Amino acid sequence: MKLRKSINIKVSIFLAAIFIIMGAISAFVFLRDLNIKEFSRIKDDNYRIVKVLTNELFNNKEIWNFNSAGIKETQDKFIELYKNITGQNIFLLNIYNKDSIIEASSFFELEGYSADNLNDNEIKNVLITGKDNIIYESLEENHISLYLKNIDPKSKILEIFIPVIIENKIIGAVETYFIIEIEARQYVISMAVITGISILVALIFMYIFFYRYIVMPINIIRRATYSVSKGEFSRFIQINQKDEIWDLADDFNRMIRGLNSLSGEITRLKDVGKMKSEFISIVAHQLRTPLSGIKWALETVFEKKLSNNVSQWLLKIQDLNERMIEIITDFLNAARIEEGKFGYNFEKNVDLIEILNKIVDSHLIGIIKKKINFSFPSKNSSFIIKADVNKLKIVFDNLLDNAIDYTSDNGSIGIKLQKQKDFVIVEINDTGIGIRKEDMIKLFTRFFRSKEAKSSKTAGSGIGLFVAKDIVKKHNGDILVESEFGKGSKFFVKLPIF
Amino acid sequence: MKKIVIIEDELILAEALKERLTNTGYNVFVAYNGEDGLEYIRKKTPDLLILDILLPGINGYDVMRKLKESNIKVPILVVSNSGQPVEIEKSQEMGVRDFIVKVDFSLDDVEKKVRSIIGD
Repeated sequence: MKLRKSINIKVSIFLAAIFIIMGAISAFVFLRDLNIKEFSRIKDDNYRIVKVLTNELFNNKEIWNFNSAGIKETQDKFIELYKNITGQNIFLLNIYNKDSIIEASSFFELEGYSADNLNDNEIKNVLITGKDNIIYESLEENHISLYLKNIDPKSKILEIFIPVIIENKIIGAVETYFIIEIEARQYVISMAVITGISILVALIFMYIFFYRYIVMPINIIRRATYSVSKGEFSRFIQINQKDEIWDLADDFNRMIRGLNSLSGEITRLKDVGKMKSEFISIVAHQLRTPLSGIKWALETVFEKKLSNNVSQWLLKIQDLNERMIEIITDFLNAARIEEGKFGYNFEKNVDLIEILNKIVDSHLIGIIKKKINFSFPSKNSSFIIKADVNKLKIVFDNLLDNAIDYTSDNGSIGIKLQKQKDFVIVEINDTGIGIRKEDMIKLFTRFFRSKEAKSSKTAGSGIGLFVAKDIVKKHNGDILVESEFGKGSKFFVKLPIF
Repeated sequence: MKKIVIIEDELILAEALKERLTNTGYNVFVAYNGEDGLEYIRKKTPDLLILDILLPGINGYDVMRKLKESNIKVPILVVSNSGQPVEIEKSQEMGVRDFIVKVDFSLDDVEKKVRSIIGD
């Protein structure tokens, strides 16, 4: 299965990406939030404990005379009490007098601790910088002032200042340091791993679900539509799930039934169409013999001595006969094109100008009769192409016929040749009736005649341009048209130069 | 006087052609089917055969084949009704001198072709 083609994989990748992005964002927010909350919880707890202990221990005015012996005892008791309550050691306990001078410090008495041999730079920094980092915070509760060092929530030390207040007078302060660990981070990370695994499992199940209920039925329908496109109208789809896809399959089956009944009709219509072209072909063919009989008979008659009047009539008959021959030939050609029997006989080294000159010669009478201003400046040049000469004659014969028929007396017709890359373009322009925009697309279809053409005096089968287009296409060329309604038309025949 | 045999089933075409070519100074015989035509040719040994393709009984190609079999050499001008490339090709293969599509050619054209093949 190609990756880019499967909806299943696309949806899975898309969802996985969304899950990962959402997970990352929520883990980040949660972790940050949790850190702060956890820290302030520990801070509050410790604050309360230390405050209680401080109040209890320093309530006796006598102790607060900062005699070193008493202080030492107090410190030991304080640390012990704190350990009893929290199960944790106080890292450091300093006792300040009201002038913010350290009267006693457990630090120096604690075994193994000294400001200099501490490895933790953070702790060292706090100890050395001392009161410089103290900020003032006021707690609403009991109107107690609290001094707290500005400690980053991510750090592992918590420092608390509790003022010693006796008879509403601040006598000094107790400063404590605790080592605190925030384990929430680990917790969140392991949670993220579990969530990730469950998302992956969910995705796998979703993939299977998608494949079974969406991709597979779509593939079944696709295979069935493919066989329809190959003209096979007998394949029905069976899908065993009642949802939109089932509806689609149901509609498809209904369409197949419809097509089945239609295909009979189509075959019948094709047969009728074939019969029609065969009929036209036979009729046209059969008519050619009597028409050529009349043609040659008239020629024979013209050799006899005829009165002027009779000869005028016979000329009219000859005209009509020629027109009939033209129409019948058009019909026959169109029928042959449709039957695929319009055989070609290509020759190399055909001079296009020679063909055009011949066509022009055979139309000179018509041009002169209508006093048309005709120009063909390239008639002495040469363009060599590969062509079926007789077929190309039909093309230019048709185009020049049209130009003459639809151009009024004293109008102009011109033939211009122009080389464009590997093509020669023959332009046949006229100042005739022109073609409406809406008629342009139908111009080269069979039996099409515009309103104006029908109402003009000229006869036409509406087949000429259909035949011409087909012939030029078979020469690997094309016919294009430009026209301004009421002003004239330009037909361009584009043929490859050999 | 040069002798021409015309094998053409359409009476008026044959007659028109005969009259024109007779007036031009040829000796013209007309046959309305292939068998009669072949008999004429064997008797008269003409200088030119003007042959239609679609004929009652044996057709134009059959006539050409039989002439070949009997080793009779006579220039042939095919005068046909359809002018399909297949027909022209087949005729060329059988060695005809020229090919004319009736509706597209006038008697003048036919006369010119005849003249160019056998002279006056």
